Formats: sequence, structure tokens, C-alpha cells
Amino acid sequence: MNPIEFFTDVMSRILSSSGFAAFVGKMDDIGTWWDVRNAVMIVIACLLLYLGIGKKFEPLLLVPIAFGMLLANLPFTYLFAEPVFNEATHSGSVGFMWVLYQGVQYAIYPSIIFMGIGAMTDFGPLLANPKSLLLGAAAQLGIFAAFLMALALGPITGGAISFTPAEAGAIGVIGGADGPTAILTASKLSPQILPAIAIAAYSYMALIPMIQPPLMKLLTTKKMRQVKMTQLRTVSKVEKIVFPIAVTIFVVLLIPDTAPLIGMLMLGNLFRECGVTDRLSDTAQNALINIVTIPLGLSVGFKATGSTFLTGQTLGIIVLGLTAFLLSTAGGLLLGDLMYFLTKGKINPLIGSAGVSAVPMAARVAQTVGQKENPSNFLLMHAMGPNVAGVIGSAVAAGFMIKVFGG
Amino acid sequence: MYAGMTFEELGGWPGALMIAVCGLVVVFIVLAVLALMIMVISKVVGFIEGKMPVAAPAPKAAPAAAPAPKKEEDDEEIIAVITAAVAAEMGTTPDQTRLTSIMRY
Repeated sequence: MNPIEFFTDVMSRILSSSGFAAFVGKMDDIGTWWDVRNAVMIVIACLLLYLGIGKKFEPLLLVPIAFGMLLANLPFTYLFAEPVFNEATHSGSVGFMWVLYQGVQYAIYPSIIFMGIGAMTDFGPLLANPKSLLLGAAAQLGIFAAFLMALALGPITGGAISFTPAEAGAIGVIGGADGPTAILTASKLSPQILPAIAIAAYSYMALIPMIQPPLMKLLTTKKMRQVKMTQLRTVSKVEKIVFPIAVTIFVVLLIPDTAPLIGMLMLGNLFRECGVTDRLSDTAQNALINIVTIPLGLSVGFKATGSTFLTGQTLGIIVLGLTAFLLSTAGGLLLGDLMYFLTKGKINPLIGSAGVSAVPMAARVAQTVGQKENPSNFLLMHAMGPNVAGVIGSAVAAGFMIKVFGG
Repeated sequence: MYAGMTFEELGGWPGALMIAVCGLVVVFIVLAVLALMIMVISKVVGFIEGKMPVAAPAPKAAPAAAPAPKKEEDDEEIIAVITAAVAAEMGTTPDQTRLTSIMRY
């Protein structure tokens, strides 16, 4: 073969094994199909990177998710190759993405992140006003309403967009406004729509300051919004130590499927409150949660390939996610209204919307809306009660969904 | 329980509605019982601690002398700021402390 033929031969081989060539539709050695949808996903990944970096939409999760999505849609990387072991040579290979994804598959990352969240959470306002737990429960209405609506989407769209009950359950949990909870539930009930669910959950969490206020004004009267609540009682150290232990025992005995979330949340909180494990508390809420957030985000993004993400289901999830958030907010507000009437005006219904467990954002929104009506009204601490109650509530709801629809 | 079932196998709309209602009821019951548990715990802890002399800061009694005789709104703001500053200095949060009097020199 003369040099020119050799040159063109080598170059054409290299080009045909490059990622660019894959966009016309090719299968690689492990059976993954690549086509132009992956190119579309790369554009979407860049868009999400813009949202995370430029618009600051929950960047700590959205940037790794978007980048994982980017890497997952670059062809022929074999990043998701399953382990292959060669007995003869005692060596093997596996895709890096596959390895990181095991932390999602086996519920490791969400559990560790929940421990960090527990270490960051002060349950004082909740302990001072236990009625907040009811507001946290009411705000999980969106989860079950969205579940029903996800099932309804099939008949409504004539079968174009439909979800199995298990998928609908995972979509509903978006309404809990809790990233790790949504990811855990989706990983157990419907891994194929996990990226869409995670992206919807985190995007809407970032948009809470925009989503909630209109609904808050709609479902409450001006007089209700102006209520000033009395100062919270002091909570003793002993109470704060007994609380996480008691909650774990009771809730996990009742619904064992909540163990990864509730157990780890309460462990983190115990580290924080007991006073003798400050090093562990500090690690859990700083270094460890950051260390785990990176592979969690990447893994969630990895799953978002063209074939699984560019579907009508994703569109449905985006719409349902917003509905779930709205209904959860409404649930908390409506119970807040009821409690306002029952306590003859002692409770400000605005704190009900904080039952949506995006801590502390939803509480801050309650504070801002309340302060607009009454500049000397500081609802933040009062709103933190329902806010952290919502975290427990959405973990219980997720455990319920996993128990009912999980294998 | 109903893993891997389709909508029809679940029992159609009645089944799905039942599951949704059950779920909400379960969440409410669990959290309501937790609320009761908290109230019991705080009574028990309060009783135990009441038997021992407590060297802790603020008593739980109704607020003692009103901070200032004036009733104007911006004084309340000043009080809030002072409370926050004192609490920060003491290394706690405003809801853990109670100022009983502020004197203007």
C-alpha cells in the first residue's frame, strides 16, 4: 500500500471511530446505540450548565448533573461499561460512570447527604411548636396529588405520555421538594426517568421564590398574612438530644423503608445536638456532604442519554413537577388557614407554605412575604418549624411510595 | 406490595385513589404522633430538669418587665436588633435567650 493510501486509511479509521461519526447512528462494542439525539442532549447539557452557572439554579447539584449529562452523551467513551473480569489475566475493566452510579443504585449517596442535612438542621423551632408537624404533613399533599395526575396523563394524552404506577409514585415525590428524597425514590421505583425527576426537582426548588408568593397571596387574606406570632419557647438541650433518637425508633419501626432517609437524617442531627461529636457533625455537614454531592450529581446526569431523556415522559415530568410543587404549597397554606381559624388568629398561615421541604428557602419566602405585609413581622423562625417538619414528612411519604411500589 | 403492576392491575382509578388517600393519611398519622411524642418528651424532660437546679439562662416564665415603656414600632425593631446582637455574642440564637430589660444610659 502506498503512503497516501495508508494515510487516508488510518485517518478514515480514526474519524469513523470519533464521536462525530457516531451522530449518524452507530452501535459501539458494548451494545450502546449512539445517534443525533445525543448531540441534542449535549446542547441541553450546555443549557443546564448555563442555568446552573449563569442563573445560579442550585448550582451545587445542577453543575455536576449537567456535566454528567454532557459526558454521558459523548459517544464511544465506554464510561458506563459494566464490569468485565478476565479470569486468565486477573484483570478487568469497568466504566468510571458505572462505578460512581452504584452509589445511587444502592441508595448510598442520598443517605449520606441526608446525614449532612440532619447535621445542618436545627429542630428547635419544630420542638417549640409541634403543631408545625401538621403543616409539614399537609404540604405533602402535592406528592399524592401529582401521583394521581401522573396516572391521569396517560388517558388525557391518549397514551402519548403515560406512566406506570411506580413511575407516577416517583414523580409525585418531586412534590416533596427534597432532592435526595426524590433521587432515592426514583432510583428504587423508576431509574429510567431518574435524571428528568432530579432535574425537575432541583430546578423547581431554585424557583420557589417565584412559584410560591402568588399562591400565598391567593390562598390567604391580608389580615391573615399580617399575623404576628408569639415568640417561641426555649427548647432544652435534652429535648434536642432525645428527639432524633425517638423519631428514628418510632418512624422506622412503623415504616422500615424510611430507614435510609429518616435514620441518617436523625443521625446527623444527633451528631449536631449531642455536643460530644462536634467533629463528626462538622465533617457530615461540610466535607462529607460535598464529597458525596459530586458523584451524586454526576451519576444522575450520566443516566440522561438521548434515548431516555428526549421523550414525551420528560415533558410530562416537567409539567407534573411544577404542579406537584404548587399543590404542596397549597396544601400547607390551606391547613395554615384552618389553623388560623382554629387558634383564633394566633397562627400566620404563611408559615404553612414553608412545609414544602426546601430548607431554608421556603422558610425565607414565608418571611419575605410576611414582612411585606407587616414590616416588623419576623416569621423566619416560626416558618422553620414546618420547613424541617416537611423534610420528615416527605421522607415518610417517599418511604410509603417505596413500600407500595418497590420490589 | 404492588411492584411492577400496571394501572389496571392496581385496580384502576379506585385503587390509585385509595393508595393516594392512604399515603396522605399515613403521613398525617405519623407526623401527628411525632407531635404528641414531642409534647410528651418536653413535659418529661421539663419535669426531670425541674427537680434539678438549673444554671441555664432564661426562665420559661412569662416575660418579666416589658423591655421599654414606649410602644412605638421602631423601638421593637431596635429591641430585635439588640436581642440578635446579644445572642450572637453569647454564641446562641435569639430564640434561646430572653432579654428581660434594656436600660438606656
